[in-house]
Amino acid sequence: MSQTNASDRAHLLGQGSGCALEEVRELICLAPKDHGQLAEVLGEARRRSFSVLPIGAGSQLAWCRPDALDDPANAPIPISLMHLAGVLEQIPGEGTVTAQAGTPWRDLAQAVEQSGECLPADLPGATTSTLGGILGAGRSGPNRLRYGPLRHHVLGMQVMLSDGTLAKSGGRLVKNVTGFDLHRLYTGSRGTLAIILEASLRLMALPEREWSFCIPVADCASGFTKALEIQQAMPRLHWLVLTRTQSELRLQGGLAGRASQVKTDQERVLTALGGTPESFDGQAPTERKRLGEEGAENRNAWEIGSPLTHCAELLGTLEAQLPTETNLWVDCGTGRILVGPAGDAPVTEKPSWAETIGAEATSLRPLCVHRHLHDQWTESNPTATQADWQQRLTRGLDPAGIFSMTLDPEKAPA
Amino acid sequence: MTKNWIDELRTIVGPRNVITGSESLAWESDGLSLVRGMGQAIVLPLDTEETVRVMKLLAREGVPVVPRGAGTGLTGGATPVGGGVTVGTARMREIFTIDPVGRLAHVQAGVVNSDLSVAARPHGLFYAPDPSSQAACTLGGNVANNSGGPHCFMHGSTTRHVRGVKLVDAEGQVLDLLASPADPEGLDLVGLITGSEGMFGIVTEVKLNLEPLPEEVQTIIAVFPSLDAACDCVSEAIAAHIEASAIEILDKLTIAAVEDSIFAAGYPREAEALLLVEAEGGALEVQETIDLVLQLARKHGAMEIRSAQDKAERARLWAGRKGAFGAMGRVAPDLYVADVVAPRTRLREIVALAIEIAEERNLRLGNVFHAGDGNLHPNIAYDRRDEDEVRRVLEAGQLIMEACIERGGSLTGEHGVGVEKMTHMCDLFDDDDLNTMHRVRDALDPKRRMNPTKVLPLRACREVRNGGLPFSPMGNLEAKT
Repeated sequence: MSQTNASDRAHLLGQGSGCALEEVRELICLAPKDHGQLAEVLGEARRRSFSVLPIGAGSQLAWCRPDALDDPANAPIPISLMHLAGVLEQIPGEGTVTAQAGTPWRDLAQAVEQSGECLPADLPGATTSTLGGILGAGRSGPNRLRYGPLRHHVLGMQVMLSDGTLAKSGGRLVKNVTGFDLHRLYTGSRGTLAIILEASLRLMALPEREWSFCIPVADCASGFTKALEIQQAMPRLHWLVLTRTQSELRLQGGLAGRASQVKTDQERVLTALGGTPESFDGQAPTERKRLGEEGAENRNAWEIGSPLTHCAELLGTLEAQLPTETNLWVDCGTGRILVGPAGDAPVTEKPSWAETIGAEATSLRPLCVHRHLHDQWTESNPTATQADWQQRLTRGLDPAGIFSMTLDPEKAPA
Repeated sequence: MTKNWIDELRTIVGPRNVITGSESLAWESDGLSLVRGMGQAIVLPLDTEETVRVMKLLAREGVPVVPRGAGTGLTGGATPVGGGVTVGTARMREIFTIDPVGRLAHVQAGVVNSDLSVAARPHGLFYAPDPSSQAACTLGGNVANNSGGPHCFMHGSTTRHVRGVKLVDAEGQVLDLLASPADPEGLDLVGLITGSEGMFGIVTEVKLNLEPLPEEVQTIIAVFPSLDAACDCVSEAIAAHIEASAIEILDKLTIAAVEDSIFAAGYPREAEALLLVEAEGGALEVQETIDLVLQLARKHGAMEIRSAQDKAERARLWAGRKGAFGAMGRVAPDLYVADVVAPRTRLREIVALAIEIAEERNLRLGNVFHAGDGNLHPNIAYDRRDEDEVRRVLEAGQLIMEACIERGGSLTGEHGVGVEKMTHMCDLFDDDDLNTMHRVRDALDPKRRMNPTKVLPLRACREVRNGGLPFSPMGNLEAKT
């Protein structure tokens, strides 16, 4: 790779391909106007052996590809899909939407609401994030407790491979098993396989009513145990998270659906909760918007995927060992734990508690432990075969290697 | 030479678990009886360890491998049309664990679909995907085909329920994704494997999501004077964002076949079409959903509406629906089960087209389908000993697929592509799309030994379009010239 910085290389690519440069979140990126120009950019990148990184609005970079931010000398050149935006198809009565990757998530949500539908992932913090960015980053909302992860609702995609090939998989229908589900592979691939150009999503009925609650809990372990009890008492919860911010521990959750059912169910939740929680009515409670995303956006967070059966024990251990100013965010439906210092300023040194939680989590056999910021701190542990498959797929779809890989096979155990 | 490695297979899995010669006749086709093929042997390993040894041996010998569950598939996907060895999961029947807290089940691939729900029930849980063949089909087969079923309208197809898999690849390497977290670490390999029709390896173990048993379930049938009216009722219900768990339609021929069979459910024989709707969840939302269905059914001219009064009646109504394919055996000895997906706003149009195509060819067509998902099953009853009728059946099947695709539909909603629809992939995808799928396949199975001659046409689409039908009535793969 060239020793020039990313900005210089972006200018070279722009000159060679005729693509305009724009600034996204202080990053100089190429912003092609159409598929042809994108193919030109990729062709130029191949010729110059420059690595590139597809982005939308750049809002997910810290989350999934911090390499683009941290090392200008080696960073891949961002290609923003911001100009490839807009809803392509939404037929009333089909329950699906197809849009270009650069479509802002918020605009997409507003478009489908007009037909009484909603997107299958509630990402209130994703104001400027694009459809392609959300999918590439593999994001899901807190309401995955009810709907499942967003990737389950991706019906099809069109992508551009690094050699300029346009390829589609799946389709625009709610049910379809024709061919390999490559759109599942691209979702969450963090731009390492292809550039997502458009995607089709299944839509959900817009809830008639929403209700949410917030209750303080004494400690993490008991809070999580309470969360499991509430899920047992009320299987229709839409979201349920345990948070520790500014040393305050809270269990929060919510219901959505038909008004009459939500009203009945909220009484059951209140009974199961005991105490006197704060509760909120409305279509989109402000409290959920704020707390549902907190932690999930923190670029400094460590992520631990724990089986639900181990989660209370693990949380108890973490709480005892972490400094009180450390924040926690736990999706009680999946056992996904985010641990991180307050704020979003980059952490330049590995925190002292990181070793401890890594060791504790490993001793309890969690599913994975990794941190998003720096690869060298990552403690994820794919099997050798898993790493091999990922490497083979990456090479198969991007033989030129211009979509830089996040997984270092050298780190995989033998 | 051949004998030597087959003897080695016997050493690995035991002599009784390697089937060759005339004993293997029962394995020569799956549910698509038009396509038949005999491989060199059928091997039935007990577990992952035996599968690894079998696959390493077959890799050493360069033998193609056809994975097989219960053989209930309907597209020839588990038939060894290209030769090789069939590796079956029939002996992998253990349910290892059911975790009621995490709502997860860890099972071997050969566990029968409905057995999992039976095992989960004491924990207040069930496994949601319910193909009509659920009393026989295996969970590994469901993963391979991303199988559906009536209740996938609410719960989604198999892929939404697979948390992890253990797979043995073509070279005998184990890919263990059973410990996958809720969100995959790195690429979503579980999502890629699910629905790949056995072309990346053999799934030997699966970790599946379980759902809480619903608090309230209501099931109704509505009798319509025409199939058009039933279709219109469903399209309007979808547009109104109805949140039922299953929305099915059966037509007159199917109703008669069911009522004449051991699956008789008490369906009214005078009905031209029957709408079967189930709602599950909280009592109030279920009642509101059913009320909306009743309102729409009456609006579209339903002559009679009946609610299941108890669990036994509900079970009878579903037994009739799920036994419909089998019941069609009373109409003719063979059944061609088409599986296409229509845009849900065009149900009436595409169903009517399928009927017209069958009538023009003097064929007996029964419709029983997942109307809520737009997943149509125009079923053509025929006798495969009648070569001309077989020709007409295949022609009708092809035209139905083409008509559906021309109107924005898809080739398959839940049965997979297999052999049956392989060349029709060119109707839906172009060469670049298919080449990309080939690149993924070649990355994971560069020698293309896993389930060869399935799913992806090997020729360019222009050649395929000039080639015609993918297989002859006698079951040998050959292009029509």
